[in-house]
Amino acid sequence: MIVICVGTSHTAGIELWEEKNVPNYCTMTEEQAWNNLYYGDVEEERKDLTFTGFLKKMKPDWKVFNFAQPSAAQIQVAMTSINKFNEMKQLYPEEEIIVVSQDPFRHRFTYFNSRTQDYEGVATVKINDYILQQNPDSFEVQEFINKYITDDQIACNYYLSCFGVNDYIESSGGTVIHFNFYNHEAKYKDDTNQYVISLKNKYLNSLQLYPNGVTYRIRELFKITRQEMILPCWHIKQQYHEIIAEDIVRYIESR
Amino acid sequence: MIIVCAGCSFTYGSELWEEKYTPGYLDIKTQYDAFVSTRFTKHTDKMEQERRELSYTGTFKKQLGCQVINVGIGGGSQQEIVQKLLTTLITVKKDNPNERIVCVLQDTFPNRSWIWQEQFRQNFSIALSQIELWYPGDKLEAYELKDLFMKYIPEELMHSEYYMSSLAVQGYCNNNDIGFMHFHIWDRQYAIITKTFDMTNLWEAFFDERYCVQEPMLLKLNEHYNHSREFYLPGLHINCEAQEIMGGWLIEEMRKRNLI
Repeated sequence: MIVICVGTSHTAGIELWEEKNVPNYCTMTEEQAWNNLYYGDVEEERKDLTFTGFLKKMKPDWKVFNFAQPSAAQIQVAMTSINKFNEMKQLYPEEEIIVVSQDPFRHRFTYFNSRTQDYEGVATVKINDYILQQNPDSFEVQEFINKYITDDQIACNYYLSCFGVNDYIESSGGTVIHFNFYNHEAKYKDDTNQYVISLKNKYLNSLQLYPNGVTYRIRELFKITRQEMILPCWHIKQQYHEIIAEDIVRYIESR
Repeated sequence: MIIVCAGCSFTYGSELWEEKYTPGYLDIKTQYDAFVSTRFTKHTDKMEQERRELSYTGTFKKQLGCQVINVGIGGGSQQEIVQKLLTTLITVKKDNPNERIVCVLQDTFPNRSWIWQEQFRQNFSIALSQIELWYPGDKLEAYELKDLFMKYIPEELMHSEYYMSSLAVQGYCNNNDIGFMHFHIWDRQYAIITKTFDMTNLWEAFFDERYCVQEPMLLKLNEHYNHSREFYLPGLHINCEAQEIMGGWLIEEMRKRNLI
């Protein structure tokens, strides 16, 4: 079996390497932690600290791949899903292929960064000044988005990309498992556009794992607050990734 | 059987009512004049219905004798078209659970986007290549907007979202036992424009001949009319006769795919 994991910074393991290797990392403020993120060549080590690393240990006979992109918005995750699925299909034509998609924030917009010559996701909500300092374009992009692109349009593109991925992979004989860290029903309860609401409901009905989001699952299981489960820059602690891996294995084996 | 058709002005029937009923319309010389002439005309409900029936969807109704719902949007971007289409399909499916439903999507041009215009407090579909024609606000603002799009939203990003939305409709139809077919008016000039994304797989999925009519309709019409431009209207839409011919071809394509 091939398991392709795609997603964003949670799946890329941002903060997890620091949690393990930077003294007192967990007690830093958000700004301090942001400035202590390590940009060295530890990408694979980071990824192995996530649920994908736990998957590899739990299921050594599965081939598990992690193609997460830290700041990705939905279209990037969707494109990666499709392209990596197709790549694996050609490399391993006899194997069953499962795509596990950790879906990004809904309020993230993809834009082309001419400085890095690559796509990035930018939050359409207020982002902190120290983040903007590292990426000055973000401010102009945010202004552009806030003026011309509505939250409803971003939401529509988000959900349609999910469904587009599902159609591509399922019609090619694969399986897609979507999950989200957050509960879209609660987080976006103020949606008023009926089309967005209908797409959101369709998305929620199609989630195979965590209908209420990963953070809800962890809070309920361990009886802890959100503050207790997260690192300074809001990603969940490494120990909780094991739960995600267990849940994924359980879902796959129960089909 | 119910056929639900969606698309841009070619489905909506732009210029067709004018061709039939507006004296002197065919004498208009420029696309801009045609655009101005039709865009600000007051459209009655009767006019709108007649217009839609003059499109290829009217041919479906005449030749197949079934109910045809035309939700084409003049100037629509793919996002706007898919929104209208999906909301219509959901309602039609719910209201007619035992009817055979077929969906025909006329894909529009990928370089159209759907933007919010603060002055008019509503969304507008705009074609970036002709933004000065389409933008409802200040023209200087239109050019600034175009620059921002060119800078931050390259064509391949617009195309990837365009293809994804079509696959989303395809998936919805497949999961709800609705027949699905889509076709394109213009040629595949939008094929792989890769800057950073590898679009090959998405492109191939979009042009899957199980669902996609392979030959672009304008190219086929060009051949049919021996490369003369007689079937074009002043605003560069196709005339009523060409619409009827196209409707006949699309019916054959639906039959080939066992949709009807």
